[in-house]
Amino acid sequence: MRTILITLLILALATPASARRRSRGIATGTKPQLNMSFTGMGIDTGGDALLDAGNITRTRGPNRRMTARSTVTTHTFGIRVERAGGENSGSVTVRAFLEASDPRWSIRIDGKTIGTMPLVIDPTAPIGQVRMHTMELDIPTAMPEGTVFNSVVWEITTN
Amino acid sequence: MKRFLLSLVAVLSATSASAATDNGTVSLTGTLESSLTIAITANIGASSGSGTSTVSVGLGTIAKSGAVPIAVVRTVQTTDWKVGALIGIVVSKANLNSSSYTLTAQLASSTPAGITWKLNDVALSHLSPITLTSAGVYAESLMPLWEVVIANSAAPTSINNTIHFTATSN
Repeated sequence: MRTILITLLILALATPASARRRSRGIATGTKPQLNMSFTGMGIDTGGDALLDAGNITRTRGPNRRMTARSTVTTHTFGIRVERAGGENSGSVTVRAFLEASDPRWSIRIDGKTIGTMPLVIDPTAPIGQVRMHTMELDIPTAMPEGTVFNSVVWEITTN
Repeated sequence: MKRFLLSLVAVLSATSASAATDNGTVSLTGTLESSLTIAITANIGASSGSGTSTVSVGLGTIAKSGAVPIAVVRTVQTTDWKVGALIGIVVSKANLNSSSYTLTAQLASSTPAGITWKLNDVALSHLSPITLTSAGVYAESLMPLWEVVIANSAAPTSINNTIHFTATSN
């Protein structure tokens, strides 16, 4: 019995928390698997999505505004969190961070400028519902023309 | 010791069970295009749209004598008379590697006989543009003098017209 307990203890300690977190779609323990999906992004493929902002010019538009120093393009999208098996109760904390640092321009989600460190976007997103968010691409006028690219990594963790 | 280990395993198990996670990635892409914008300031007579790229100026009825519209100066000469005012033009750039611009102006339509539109004393035409500057400084105001010269021989008529300004980066 003692040997079994020690083995269990070693196994529990052997898996780092970060490794568990990075395992996409794998829920630890006995809770059903979590699934995050995006809506309103244009190309949504399950837990990943592509947002093509198209041609970004300094002109007024329905999703675009201009400040003295930058052009801000706004996109509204939704995040749905569900549990496999339909046990849609409780809530998750939603965090986001940039995959790569690009100081030339910034990305705001719900008004919060995100960087390469995870930032809490929604501390209590209900499981089973779509929660709407806004993403702003803030591009200074001094930035030279060309292709802009980055990736926002999203993490959800049950509360 | 056995009780301690049991407790520890129980705590670890409970922690693991409550921490379900998932992650996803949103890739962002777009093409940033350069642009120039023109803002025209003309608080002349009954104007509208001052500060934007489309300004309308209403002078009402004008004559060689009598009242003149707000901010308009009238000059009476031997064979003709003219009304004039300064207008402000600011060209701004965005996402563009350029140190100066060229600004041209051209009338949209021909003028009636005996009537001439001028900018900085250069006659405007609807046939070809004139160059106001070939070394414009971005975000600084250019203040050309806009004038309409009316010959004494010109018949009473509408002087309506439109000046198209075009800014091109150098």
